[in-house]
Amino acid sequence: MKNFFKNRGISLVFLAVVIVVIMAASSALMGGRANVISNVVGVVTLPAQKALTGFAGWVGSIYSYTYEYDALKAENESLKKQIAEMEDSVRQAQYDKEENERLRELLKLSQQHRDFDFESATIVSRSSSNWTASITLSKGSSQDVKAGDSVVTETGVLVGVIVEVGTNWSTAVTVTDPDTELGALIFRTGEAAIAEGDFELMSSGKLKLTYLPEDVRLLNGDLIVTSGRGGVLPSGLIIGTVDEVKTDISGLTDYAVITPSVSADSLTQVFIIKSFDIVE
Amino acid sequence: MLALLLLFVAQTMLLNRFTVFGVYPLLLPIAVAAVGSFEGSAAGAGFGIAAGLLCDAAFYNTDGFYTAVFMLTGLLSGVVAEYVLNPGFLSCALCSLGALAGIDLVRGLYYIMAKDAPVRAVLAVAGPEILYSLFWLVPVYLLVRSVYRRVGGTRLA
Repeated sequence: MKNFFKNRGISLVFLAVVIVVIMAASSALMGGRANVISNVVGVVTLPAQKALTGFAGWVGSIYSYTYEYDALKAENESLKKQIAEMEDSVRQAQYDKEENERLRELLKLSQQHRDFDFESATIVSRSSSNWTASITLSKGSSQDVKAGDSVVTETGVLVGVIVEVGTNWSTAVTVTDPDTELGALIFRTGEAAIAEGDFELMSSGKLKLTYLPEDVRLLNGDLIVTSGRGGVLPSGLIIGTVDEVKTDISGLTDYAVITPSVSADSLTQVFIIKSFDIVE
Repeated sequence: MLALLLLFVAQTMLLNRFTVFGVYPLLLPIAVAAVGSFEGSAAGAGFGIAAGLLCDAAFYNTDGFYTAVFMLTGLLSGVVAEYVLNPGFLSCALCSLGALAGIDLVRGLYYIMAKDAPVRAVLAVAGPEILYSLFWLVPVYLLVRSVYRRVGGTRLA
């Protein structure tokens, strides 16, 4: 090898100078494009470079997998925890938002009925019997809740009436319970009737409107509200809408089937009206 | 008594969230019948009183109805197991059926007479309630039997 360079050193230097001159000249002439030699070298080495890059990437991933696995696992656990916390926050925010909406609606109702004294309550359980329709609420005599108080939604829809009160709980029968009997008004005509629970209709979540005035013409969707007569319940609480008119088993009198405007099954929070002004 | 509380919680706080054919099951009459069947009429009646008091406290407008009915159920189950059938599943099943039918008969008659409920509406509740409650007969019976075998029952006798 030493002799090779000694014998042909000048030739090699000359060859190198020629190559450099050709490359410099072609670079100057090609105007930014790769010269022939560079191009040939690039074309030939590209697949090898690609293969090398791929190999390096694979080695890198193995390295990462080997040496960073524990760190990634810990990070994954931490992220999972963060996601769970964030999901919890979102759920809480959703709950707060819904509660906020209910309270805003309640505010409107409070402004319409400044005489109402509300107590917010949560429904803690529903009927445990197939023969009644009742709910248990989270407020009782400690909060001045009394038997006979009405239970409404934030929009003033009647859910039921308190029938039993404990220290920190109370039971309300819903409007569909067979024991429920309410003074009612047909909102469109202003005529009075009685809204009462019916055992047969209870299973379908409906109730009856009885003692209908003579010659009354009920329309499908007529709104039924509490009359407030007798001072037991406030007036104007929404009970439901007329579904259909039927004739009772004796064939002598008609009654209307009412669909309540709210089902207790769909509620979590209600409001107890503890006191109100009696308007006769 | 732990089994009683377990069944009470299951009936009034868990199973009442899921209706089948529109009804919830009654587990406690079956438990009372099973106790009466295994331990005799005195223990059955005592367990019936405890279970009935719990139900009357939990349900609205029952006025001691469950205490009376469950006491009778326990008492009669014991009598049946002592004098008519051998203590075991058959006597428990028959007494449970009798108790459930008796409860629904009284309630049904009340709604028919006091609330003008049509008979078909009463049957539409009572029938599924009895059948769905009997669906729980085997698990409740096995629970009571395991308690009886482990600790010798309620020891009320």
